[in-house]
This record gives sequence, C-alpha cells and structure tokens, in this order.
Amino acid sequence: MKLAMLFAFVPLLVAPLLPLVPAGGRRWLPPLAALLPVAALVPAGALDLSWVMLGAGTIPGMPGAVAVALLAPCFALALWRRGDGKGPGGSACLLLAQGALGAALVASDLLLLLAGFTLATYSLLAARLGDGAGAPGRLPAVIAVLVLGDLAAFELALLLAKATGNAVVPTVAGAAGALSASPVVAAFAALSAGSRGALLLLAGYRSAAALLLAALPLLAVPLLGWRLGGAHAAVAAVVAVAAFALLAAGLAPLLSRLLPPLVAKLTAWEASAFGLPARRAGGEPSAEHPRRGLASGLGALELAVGSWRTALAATVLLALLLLAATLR
Amino acid sequence: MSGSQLLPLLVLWPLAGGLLALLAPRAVGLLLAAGTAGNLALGLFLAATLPGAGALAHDVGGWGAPLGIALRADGLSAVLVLVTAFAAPWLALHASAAYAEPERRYFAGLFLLFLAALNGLFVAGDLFNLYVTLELLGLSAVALAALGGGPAALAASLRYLLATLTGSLAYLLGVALLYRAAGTLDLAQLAGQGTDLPGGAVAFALMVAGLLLKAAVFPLHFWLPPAHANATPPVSAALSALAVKAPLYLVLRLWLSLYDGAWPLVAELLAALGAAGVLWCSLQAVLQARAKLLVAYSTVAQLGYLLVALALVPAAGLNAYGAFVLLLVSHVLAKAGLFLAVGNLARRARHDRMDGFERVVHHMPLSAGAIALAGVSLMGLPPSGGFSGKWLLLQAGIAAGKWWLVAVVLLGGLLAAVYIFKLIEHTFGGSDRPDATALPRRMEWAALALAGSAVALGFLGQPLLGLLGGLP
Amino acid sequence: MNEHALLPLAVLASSLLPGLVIFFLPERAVRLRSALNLAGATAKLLLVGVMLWGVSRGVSYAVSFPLLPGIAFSLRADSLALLFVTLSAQLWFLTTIYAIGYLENSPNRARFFGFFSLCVTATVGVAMAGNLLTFLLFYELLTLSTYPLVAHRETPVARAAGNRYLAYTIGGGAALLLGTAWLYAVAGTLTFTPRGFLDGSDAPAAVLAAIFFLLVAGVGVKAALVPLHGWLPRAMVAPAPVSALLHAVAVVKAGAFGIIRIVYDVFGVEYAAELGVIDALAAVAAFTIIYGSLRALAQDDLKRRLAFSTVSQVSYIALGVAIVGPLASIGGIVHLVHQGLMKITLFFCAGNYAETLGLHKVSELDGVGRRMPLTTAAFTVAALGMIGLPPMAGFISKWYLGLGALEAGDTWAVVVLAGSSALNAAYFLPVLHRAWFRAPAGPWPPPAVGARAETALALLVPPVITALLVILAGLFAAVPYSPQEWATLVVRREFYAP
Repeated sequence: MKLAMLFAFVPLLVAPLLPLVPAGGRRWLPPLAALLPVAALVPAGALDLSWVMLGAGTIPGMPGAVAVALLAPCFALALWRRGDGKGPGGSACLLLAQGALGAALVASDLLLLLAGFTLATYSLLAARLGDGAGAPGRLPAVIAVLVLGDLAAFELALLLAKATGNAVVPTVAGAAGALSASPVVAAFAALSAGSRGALLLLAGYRSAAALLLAALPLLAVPLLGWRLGGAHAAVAAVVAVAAFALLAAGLAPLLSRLLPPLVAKLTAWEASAFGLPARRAGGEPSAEHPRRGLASGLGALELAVGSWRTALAATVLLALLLLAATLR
Repeated sequence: MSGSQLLPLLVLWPLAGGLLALLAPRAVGLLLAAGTAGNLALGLFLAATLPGAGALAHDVGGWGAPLGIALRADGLSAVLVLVTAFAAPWLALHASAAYAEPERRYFAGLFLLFLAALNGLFVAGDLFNLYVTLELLGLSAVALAALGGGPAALAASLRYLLATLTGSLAYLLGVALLYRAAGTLDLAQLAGQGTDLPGGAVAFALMVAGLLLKAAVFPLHFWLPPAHANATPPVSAALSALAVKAPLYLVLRLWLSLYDGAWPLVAELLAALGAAGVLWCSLQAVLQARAKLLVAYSTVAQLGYLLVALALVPAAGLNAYGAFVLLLVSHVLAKAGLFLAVGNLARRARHDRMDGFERVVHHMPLSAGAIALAGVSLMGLPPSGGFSGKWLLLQAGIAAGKWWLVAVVLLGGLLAAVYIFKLIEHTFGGSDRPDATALPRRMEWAALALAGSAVALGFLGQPLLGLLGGLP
Repeated sequence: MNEHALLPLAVLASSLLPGLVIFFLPERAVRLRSALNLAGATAKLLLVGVMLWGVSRGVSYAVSFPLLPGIAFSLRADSLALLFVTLSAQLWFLTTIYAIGYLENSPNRARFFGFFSLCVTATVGVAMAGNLLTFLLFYELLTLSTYPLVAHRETPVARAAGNRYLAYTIGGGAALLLGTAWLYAVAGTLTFTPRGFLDGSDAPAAVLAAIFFLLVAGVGVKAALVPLHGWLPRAMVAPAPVSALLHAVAVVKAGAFGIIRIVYDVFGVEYAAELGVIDALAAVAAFTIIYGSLRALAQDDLKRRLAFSTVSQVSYIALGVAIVGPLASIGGIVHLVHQGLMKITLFFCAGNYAETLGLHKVSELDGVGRRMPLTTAAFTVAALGMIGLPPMAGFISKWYLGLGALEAGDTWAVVVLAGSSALNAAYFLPVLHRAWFRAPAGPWPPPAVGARAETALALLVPPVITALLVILAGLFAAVPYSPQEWATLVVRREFYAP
C-alpha cells in the first residue's frame, strides 16, 4: 500500500479534466474526488517522486496525512453545496486548491511545499473571485499582500535550501533529509501559510462560507509546524500567522492607496517621455526633417566640387602631393 | 592549345566579335551571345591552366620585349579576366531585352570592344600596351555612356570623355618619362626599378594622378555620378562594375611591382583619399532622391575601400591584397546586379525617383531580391564577397595599427546600410499604376544572378585567393 | 563526409530549402506552400531528435570548410547548441501552424513564409555556429531575414518600425564585427571552446575588456539590453506570429544565446570574472530587468506590455550568465527555453484576441475569459509562469537563479529577482483579473460562421500546446531530456571544469 499517499493528489489530477466531464457528471464527481484523499490515512511508506519538480517526495503518517484527511470532507462538503450552478471553473479551482494544499502538507521537500501552498492560494483566490465574492476596491491590496507573501516565502525557501546544504552542484537533489529538524522550516511554513491565511481573511471576511475556507489553510499551519519542528514550532507557526495577518491587515489599505497612483504616475511618465512621435495626418513620421538644412548644404558642396575647374585643380594638386610624398 | 597561346585569344575573340557586330547587324544577338560565352570559356580555361603554370607569358608574333607585344597573366590577371568574363554574359542577356534596334547593334559592338579592351588591359605586359588598351577602354566606355540617352546622357558622357582623355594624357606623360629613363616599357624588366630611375618619382605621380582621375576616386569623381546615372542600365552596370576597376588595377600593378610599394607617405595619401571618398560619397548616396544616382555615388564610395585596401598592402601584405581583390570582385558582381535591378525598377516606373516606385516587391520580386542581395554584399554583411573583403581589410587595418581606417571602414558600412535600406524601403509600399507593363523576365534574372553570385562569393573566398596567389 | 557531418547541414537545409522554394511559388499555391512548410518543420524536428539522442550519448556532430585563410565556416552541434536548436525547431513547428491560420487570406504570404523559413534557418545557424565568425554570419542573416517580416504590413508605421529595427541591429552588427575582427587579430582563433580560449592570452587586459564590451554590445542589441532595447517595442506592429518569432524563438534569443557563447565559450566565465567585465554585464542585466518591468507596468497596449516584459525577462538569462557559478548558469540557460515557451504562448494568445475579437488593449480585455476560455487559460498559465509561480516553468529558472546568486554571495541579485517578480505580478495579475472576473463591456462579436471552437483551430492549438509545455517543463523538471536536465548537462559538460 505504498501508493496510498498518491490519493492525496487525486483532486489535482481531476481538476484540469473537470471542464471535459459531461454536465451530468459534474455534480457528483468533484465531491467524490475531494473525498478520496482520506485514503492517505492508510499506513504507507514514504513516496519518492523523483521526477516531479527537482525531485520531490512525501512523508507518511502523522500529522500530514491526518491533516490531508481532515481537509477532504470539508472540501467535499463545500463542493457539494456549491453544485454546478456557476460552471465548472470554480469547482476546478477548489479541487486544485485542495490537492495543492494536501501536497504541501505531506511534502518532504521545499519545492513541493512552496509549490503546493502557492497553487492552493491562487486557486482559492480564483475560486472566490469567480463566485463573485471579491471586493474590487481592495483587490490591489489583496494582490499586493499575496505577492509580498509569495516573495517572502520564495526568499526564505532559497535561504533554507542553502542552509540545509541542498546539494545542488551540479545535480539537484531534494532537500528532504535535512529539513525535518530545522525550526527555520517551521517559521517558513508559518510565514508562507500565514500570508495566505491573512490574505483570504482579508479577501472575504464578510461571508461565512468564505471564512470557513479561509480557516482551512490556517488549520493546516500549526499542523505543518508540528510536523516539521515539533510542538514549539507549531506554537511559533501560529504566532507567525497571527503576526503576519495583523501586518497584512495594516499594510493592505496602505498598499491599495499607494499602488494605483504609482501606476498612474508611471503611465503619465511613459506618455510624456516615450510617447510615439507625433505623426502628420496620414504621413510618415516627421523624423527626417531636421536633416534638411544639412542635407542641402552637403548637396550644394558636392555640386561645387563637381565642376571642371576644381577637378582639374584637384588632379594637379594630387599629382603634386604624390610627388611630394615620394620625396620622403 | 597551351595556356600561353590563350592570351592573345582573350583579346582577339571579343575584338573580332565587336567588329563583326558593327558590320553585320543581322547576327547581333548571336554575336553577343557567342562573344560573351566564348569569352567566359576562355576565362575559365585561363583560370584552370594558371595554377599549374604559376604565370603565363606570350610574345605576340615571336618578338620579345622590348620590341614586340608581350602578354602576361598572373593570378591577379586571371581573377580579373574571370570575373569580367562571368559578368559579361549576364549584362549581354539583360541588354538583349533592354534595347531595340539599332541601339542593340551599337551596344553589342561597343560592349565587345569594351571587353576586348578590358582583357587586353589585364594581360598586357608593357606600359605602352596598357596605354593603348586603357584608351580603347575609355573611348568604348564613353560611347556606351552616350548610347540611347537624351541630352543629359550626352552632356555627361562628354564630361566623361574629357576626364578620361585628361587622365590618359597624364598617364602617357608618365610612361614617356619612364621610357626615357629606362629605355624599356616591359613590366617585367622594370619590376622594382621605378624608385631608382631618374624622374621615376615624377612619372609615378603623373601616372597615378591620371589613373585616379580615370578611376573617379574622390575628389576626382565629379564626372562619374552623372555619366553612370544617365546611361542605360546595362551600360551603367558595365561602367560602374568594370570600367572604373581597370585604372585601379593599374595603380596597384604600377605601385606594387614597378615601385615595390615604396614611400610610406604615398600609402598615407592613398588611404586618406580612400577614406574621405568612403565617407563623403556614402553620405552623398544617402542624400540622393534618384535611385540611379544613389547607386552611382555608392560606386565612388566603394572605390574608396579599394584605395584603402591598396594603401594597406605594403604594411599588411597578403591580407590587404586579398581584401583589395575580394572587394573588387564582389563589387563588380554586386554593382552590376544592383544597377540592372534599379534599371528594371526605373524602366517600369519610367523614372528613377525612389519615392515614385510602386509596390516593387509585389510586381518585381526578383529585382527587389537582387537589390537586397547586392545590398548585402555592398554593406559588407555576411555571407558575401563584400563581407569577406571587409573582414580581411579590418584584419589588415588592425595589424597595421591603423585604427582610424578601421573606424572608417565600419562607418562606411553603416552608411552603406542606410542608403541600401533607403532603397529597399522604397521597394515596399507605394500604389499601383494600371498602365505599367511587365518586363521580360530575363532582365530580372540577369540582375538576380549577378547579385546572387556576389553573395555566393562569400563561400568562395578561399579558392579565389588560391587562384590569386601571392603578391605581384 | 559522414552522417555526423551531414546532420547539421540537413537541419539547416530542412528550413532553408522550403524557404527558397516558397519564394518562387505563386501566391495562390496555398496548399503546396503549407505542405512544404510543415514538411520542413517536421523534418527538422525529426533530425533534431536524432541529434539530441546522439549528443546525450556523447556523439559530436560537426562540419566545417574554409571561408578565408584561417577562418572556417563551422557548424557544431554541442549540447548548448542543441538546447537552442530544439527550442526553435519545436516552436517553429507550432508557429508555422499558427501563422498559416493567422495569415489566411492576407496578401504577400509567399514572401512572408519564405522569410519566415530563412529566419529559422538563421536561428538554427546561430545556435550551431562553431566559431564566432559563423555566428556573426548567421546573426546578420537573421537581421536581414527578419526585416521584411517586421515591415510585412507595408504601412508607414510598419516601415518606420522596420527602419528602427535595422538602425539598431545593423549598428549592433558593426560592433560585433569590430569585436570579432579585433579578437581574431589578438587571439588568432575564433573557435568556440568550452571554458573559453582567452585564458592565458598575452593581450593586455584592457584590450580584452574592450573586445568583450564590443561583442556584448553587438549581441546585446538583439537581446534588448537597456539602452539597446528601443527597437523591440516598436516592432510590435508586425503580425502576431512574427512577434512570437522575434520574442521567443529567434531574435532576442539569438542575442541572449550570443551572450552565453561569448561569456562561456570565448572568454570563459571565470576568466571574464577575473577581467572584471562580468560585473558590468550583471549590472546592465539587473538594470534592464527592473527597467523593463517598470515600463511594462505603464503600457495599455497588450503587445507592447508583453514586449517590455520580454526586455525584462530576457535579461534573466544575461543575469544568470553574469553570476559566476554553476547554479546561476543553469538558471540562465534554462530560462532561454522557459522564457521562449511562456512568451510564445502569451503572444499567440494576444494574437488570438486581436484576430478573433479585435482586442488590442489590456483595458479592453474585460470578461474575455468567458468568450475564449482556452486561450485565456493558456495566457494565464504563461503569465503565472512569468511571475515565477510554482509549478510553472518560470519558477524553475527563478529558483536556480536565486540559489546561484546566494551561492555566489550576490545578495543584490536576489533582491533584483524579488523586485522583478513583484513587478511581473503587478503587470500580469490585473490582466488576468480583467479577463476572468470582470464583466465584459458589451456583447462580443458573433463567432465566424461554422466555427466549432472559440477561434480557428490553427490559432487555438499552438498556444494550448505551449501552455501545457510550460506546465510540464516546470512540473517534470527532473525528468531526463527536460530543459532543466539538459541545461544541467550543458553546464556540467562545458562551462565549468569538472
């Protein structure tokens, strides 16, 4: 039963196929696919996915598999209630989110962890925006926070990959072995998860259903911290999430106020500094005109050179010059 | 037939063809074809026999120097004969469609005489024969330039005549001085003697100045643009591609073999003239509104490169010599192709103002292609003979430490790109004119073949330099 | 001449010959022309596949004959060359299909496809050039064969763009020529050699540095390094397949590839670092990355936004090259492929919007996701990849670049990458938001009669395939023959001493 862990990835596989499924199947297929990851609870060995990303893998057992199993009914319920009323796109996004989240929770390497969380966040966001729950005014802020969280996670993951001696010269091996003990990993997990949790809180605190979905990644955070760094890492993770959520809540309005004027300013600068040169009506760009004066001058000079007198004089002069040149 | 007996044939074959064409108007097309094709066969034969023999010599009638007519051919002669012979059939092909009677008859006769003069010049072994062939070349060229043109062409060819006569006169004076000092005009006997002869320097100055006037080197180029731009297309091509090369070839022969490339200051002077010509005439070409004038100015600019390469020969040796020959050969092919193509455009549009061309790429894609291919070589972009020549020229300039010449060469290439693409850009766009008539296809193919061979030359540099051999 | 020498020539001929034949085909011979094109593209793919298999087993494919004394025309398919050749062969195939669909019923198609094939021939030649002169030869051929494509529409704006393109690239060509000639005079050889051939040269360091800058300026024009990038946004007037070709397959890639060759195979990256010239390149690349992103932020025209995005993204390659160390090298080289896949997808999609619905501006894209879901999905995948989100291809490049920068101690480069990612997000995410989540401004024009998909199939299939490749290249980066694995092979074999 080594492959039981693969069930955690079922939603990921189903999601892209969903638009191809006939309408009748769209009602029951997504909840079913969302339930399948429960199978991750079956005791299984570690899975080596050396051909995924730069060599990924999963770690079996507590607490990752438990978290995956816990997520499954929640998502199945959400998908069932959602139904097929709003098209397959939203369901596909939710499935994608669940699968990615599951992958992150059982990942044994940094890349899969990072990829899972990122994908989960973006697809959750897309699912919610697709259902029309977005708050357009705050969208720039949400995106800004999301992007900043991404960047922070990416940079931390890089530092980690270096710190854990990610033997990357010249073939890249997953950082699996060195990870589990590192408390830094817990902090990283907390930050990346926290940014996303905070984001989702920000995006939709008005509706209860959104809150539930937003809480799911948050639930995953302490679990993840625990898996990677023990009890104190779990606590650290929760603290980090709370801190980042506060920070994001404070930062978001500021960013949403700063970003649009910045873009507007850039656009204005662009128009004034690099605007395409004014064209005459229906004609060529007027780039050639400044040369006119010089051009006519050169032409006149050439005409002056082209008279017999100057030419003869030049020939004689040339002969003399040649003669002079032979003297030395 | 041994190789050396080939040499008189090179002169006699086209000469006979030319005279016959003037006498027998019926068979003009046949004579033109046979004359140029036979000439090409002779050229190929020469190129094939030469590498074994090293150099060929023939004394006409068995009379040796200093009394008889001595003909000689080395690698340089062979290359020049070959490229002339290669270009001629294409020009003839174009002309066979471009002219009506009686112009076709005149063209055939004059063109074959012109070829005979060129061949004679390339294989002549003494200074006086060189003068004779030079004169024959100049006169046939002037007559060609006047062919079938209006008053502008007539005025321009008159100027051309005066210039070429003045140049010949100066050259003849120099030859006379040398003869008085040395008592012989044989090139082989005079080799390396020039500097030591009394009056040798004066003779040199006179001959070179005269030849440069005939070659239309800046600033003595005043006669060339109107003469070449107002002539009919096959003639423009022949003059621009071939006629002006002959005097430069002579300058090289005189300076390098008679005078051993002496006097560094002469090299400096020639380099300066060449560089100034490259820059000034490229700039003039950029400013032209008429396509044929643009091409004519481009010729003068390209002659500047040849002069620069020539000037570098004493300092940089084989590289500069190879550059001279490659640039010369590629210019022959590219310029002939370009003039024919532009002539096609002008013929269809009935004028040669660039902004009046109409959708050339659409109606005459072959001519547009010829312009582009010839342009590639003239700009010195790879792969083309022009690039190979420019590459060797840059190597020569760098080796000689002449960085200003390197800069001029590069700048000239950029300016060439400007004027070539000005021409190319005008082949796009424009509007259709309903009454335009289609041209015979062979006029377009002739242009394309010449221009294409200039590009193909980029891959033939090695065999060409092999045929050329060492310095003369 | 054995088959090892014939293969590189055959790869060249597989696009050259159809191109030349197409020039002389009549305009209305649509089927014959398309068949020729596709046959050539398929043949090239097969030949490249054979070479790929051979090179991975250590076979070397090379052919050379003399051009001038001491200078040879030399083609050599080493592992780096094959990386680029494979990319262009695949994308040429897809772009050909796309172009056949895109240019249906438009004038001058014979000319277009002729130059199109020449352009790919030149690109493959650039990739397989065995020495700097052969590189220069194909590099200039590329310039010439792209000009008619840029000016294809023959409008004044298109011709002005073509002139601008020429002004930049011919100037760059002159710099490259001077650098090459000087290099030959100094070093006496131009043959690309793993780890460079200049280490141990007795030329003064200043001369070598000057040569380096000349060469890099020459190729930097096509790679659109700031301030040599001005032609790229202008060239946007060209038809979409040409833009795809310029940005993903041929022109900018040839420039970036030139930088790779010059740094690794002419100077050797360690020797270049010793000379101190590599830091200047890094600085220029970093500035270009940020500058291009900032400019992209301000564009409303979709293709112009993508163009500035290219300016920024291609310099990732230069940055990877300029950071000393195998990891950054892998990142830079693999981005050559990844950026190509992502950018060609984006341009295909932009072309689809323009061709199907007449949409050219970002601000017009509201709600287009409902009307053209597959196109917009492909666009989304590529855009997210550009931002560097896992598991898309762009993430793998960014990951290696970041690791490499940390390894070399260049923390500033990490900051640059982060800033660029943020800016990428800032100019791509709003597009995605508009396309998917906003309501359209009005009803869409009705689909063409008999249309079975959101747009013509020839327009739809290529971007979907490239979008899938973007995901696959990222998700399965560790699989043999993936771009990442191949880049690792290149770096291990050729760039650093084992």
